[in-house]
Amino acid sequence: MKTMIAVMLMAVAALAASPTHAQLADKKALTLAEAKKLIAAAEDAATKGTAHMSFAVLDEGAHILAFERMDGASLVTGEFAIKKAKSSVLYKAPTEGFSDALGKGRTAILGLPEAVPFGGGVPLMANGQLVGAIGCSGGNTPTQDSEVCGAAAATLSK
Amino acid sequence: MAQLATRKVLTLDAAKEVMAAAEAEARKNGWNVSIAILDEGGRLLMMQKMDGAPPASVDVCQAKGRSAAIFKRPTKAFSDTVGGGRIVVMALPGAVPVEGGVPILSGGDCVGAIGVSGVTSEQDGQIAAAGAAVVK
Repeated sequence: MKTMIAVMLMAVAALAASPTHAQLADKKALTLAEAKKLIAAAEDAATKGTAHMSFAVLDEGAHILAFERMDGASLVTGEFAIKKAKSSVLYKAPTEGFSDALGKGRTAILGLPEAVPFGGGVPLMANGQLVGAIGCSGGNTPTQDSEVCGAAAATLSK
Repeated sequence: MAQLATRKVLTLDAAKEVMAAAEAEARKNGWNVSIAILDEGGRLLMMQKMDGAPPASVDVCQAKGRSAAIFKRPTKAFSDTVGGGRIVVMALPGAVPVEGGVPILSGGDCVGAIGVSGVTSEQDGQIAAAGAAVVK
């Protein structure tokens, strides 16, 4: 406790001594317009592949920005699309990486919180920084979710 | 032979029209909100968070919409009931006692609901009503 108070006092002293304001960083952020574009691209790719799918675009805080469930898509695709995108935001990595690792026998993957070991979740990066993620579910083949995700993510503005 | 019933269901295209009308109402007033459209079972069909809407609105709009869908009544009804002192409705599973969730009716049948969150609950309700009005 004494140490904590000492640290806090030092922090306050450091702030008071600082002549300038704290500097904030600039970062790109997704907009609803951008999210709508990504969902439309995903829907287009799914339709071409004659699949009934769900799509979710999440922001960097893993909150839903845009979501769609196509006619005929099963209910679980909606939940799964969101979970895949959430996994991609939280780990800043495509969910395919988890499914590959699991395929190689790394069953410990199953113990990672919020990690989804199925392809179809892709982080969205701008200037090398995470701005959100897209998740897709409901594809007819094991790779279609990843492909639809990739096609949509490729349309992200720089 | 037993007969099955025929009923109307929301399509994604219909949901897009509801969404567009609600978003237009929000933009017209300069309000930044999250909007969810759910099917008759209270399952998410479509959702959008406008730029500047608070993060909490994402979960709240879905909860309001789900309440309106599964109880087939606007969340304002629960809000009024609670306001009148009958706080027991807050114990109903899934009931949200805050205005902004409105059922989508077609010929008197509930085919889904729209939930809005981000401004005052009255304004949320106004946006939701504008969306729901697109379906006849």
